[in-house]
Amino acid sequence: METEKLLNFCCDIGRDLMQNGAEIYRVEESIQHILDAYGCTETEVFAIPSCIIVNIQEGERNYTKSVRIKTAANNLRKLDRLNALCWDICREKPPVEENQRRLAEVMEENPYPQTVSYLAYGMTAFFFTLFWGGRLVDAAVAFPCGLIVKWTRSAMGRVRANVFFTNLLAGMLMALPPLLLHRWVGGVNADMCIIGTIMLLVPGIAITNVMRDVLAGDFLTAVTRMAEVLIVAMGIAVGVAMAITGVRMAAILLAVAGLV
Amino acid sequence: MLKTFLPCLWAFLASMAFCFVFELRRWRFILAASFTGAVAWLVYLLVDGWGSATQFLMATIAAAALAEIFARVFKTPATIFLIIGIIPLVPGGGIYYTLDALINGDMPLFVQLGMETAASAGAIAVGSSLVSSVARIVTLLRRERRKK
Repeated sequence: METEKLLNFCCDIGRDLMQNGAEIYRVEESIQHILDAYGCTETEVFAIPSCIIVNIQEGERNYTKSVRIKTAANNLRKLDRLNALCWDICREKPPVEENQRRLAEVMEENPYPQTVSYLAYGMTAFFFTLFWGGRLVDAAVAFPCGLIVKWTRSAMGRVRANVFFTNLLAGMLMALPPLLLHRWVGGVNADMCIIGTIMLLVPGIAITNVMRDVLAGDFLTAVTRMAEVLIVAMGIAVGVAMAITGVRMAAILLAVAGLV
Repeated sequence: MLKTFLPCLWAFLASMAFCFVFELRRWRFILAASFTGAVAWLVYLLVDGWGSATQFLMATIAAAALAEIFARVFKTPATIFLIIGIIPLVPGGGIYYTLDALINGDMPLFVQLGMETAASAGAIAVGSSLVSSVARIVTLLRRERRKK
């Protein structure tokens, strides 16, 4: 009975770690350490970005559980707290029910309120536009583009759209306002606004962790994450390209209409 | 002078805003992660003239080393600081201009910019791999010495 509870707990904490931006080797090692701490000697832990399998052998009896991981929450605050929780558990070895309670406590913490989140997206686009050499006007245009990215992400998250389509739509919608302003109002460097806002869409966690996972020998994971990075990059590229060509075609159509 | 190093300030502030996107809470984490981003760009500017791939390599090594140090100081995964700190190095401009060349049908420019962007991405990968391999070996050695 106790082993089953431990198994369930290990899968839970593994999933939470993975969803909040932990590397594969961290997920595997954390579960391994907890199992070691509770005196399980014959164990196997296997993790890839979409799945964790944990096996505990007791005598001739095997306890196995696998969890499928679909969504990512990317909450670095929770990653920090989960990592600390793992260390505490390995040191103190409290009963498993106590662990479940502590895990629930960590996961219950609310994310930032919507306003802070929107502001963060806007400000990131704002400062990255300045960083890439845009002027203050460009940065001011990039701010609402950042908000558009956040809005698209939340909306697409609600309808469970895939990463390709989400990034395509976000790339297209955020590129439109600067391009339109550039063409019909002027005074705005659309390139700078778009580059600054693209930084929000870059899959930072996947890029950072792909390298760290290769080192730990997780080549399967590295390939999976690489595919994710490429799909996201392709989505952004296609989205922005659609916006650029769309605006150009609209301009041509308007010019033709004007001539007629 | 000021104009050259102003981007470091923007990198700091942009990284700080990014911390909120990734839900970082504690102020010392936020400051440390933003500092990592600013230092990465400072190093990039300091080794100006070494060729862009080398610049990216040196900047990433600096950022990754700093991230590992912060991880040991604050007892938290290094990846937290690296995810934020490496963002200013991501060649966003390179990706965009490559795409622009493709749309305009300028194939030679597309290939040139594409290769440049790929090279800088490779340099970032190599740099961060080097540092975290060394950090891992150092940790294992220290752990073994403590056991003895």
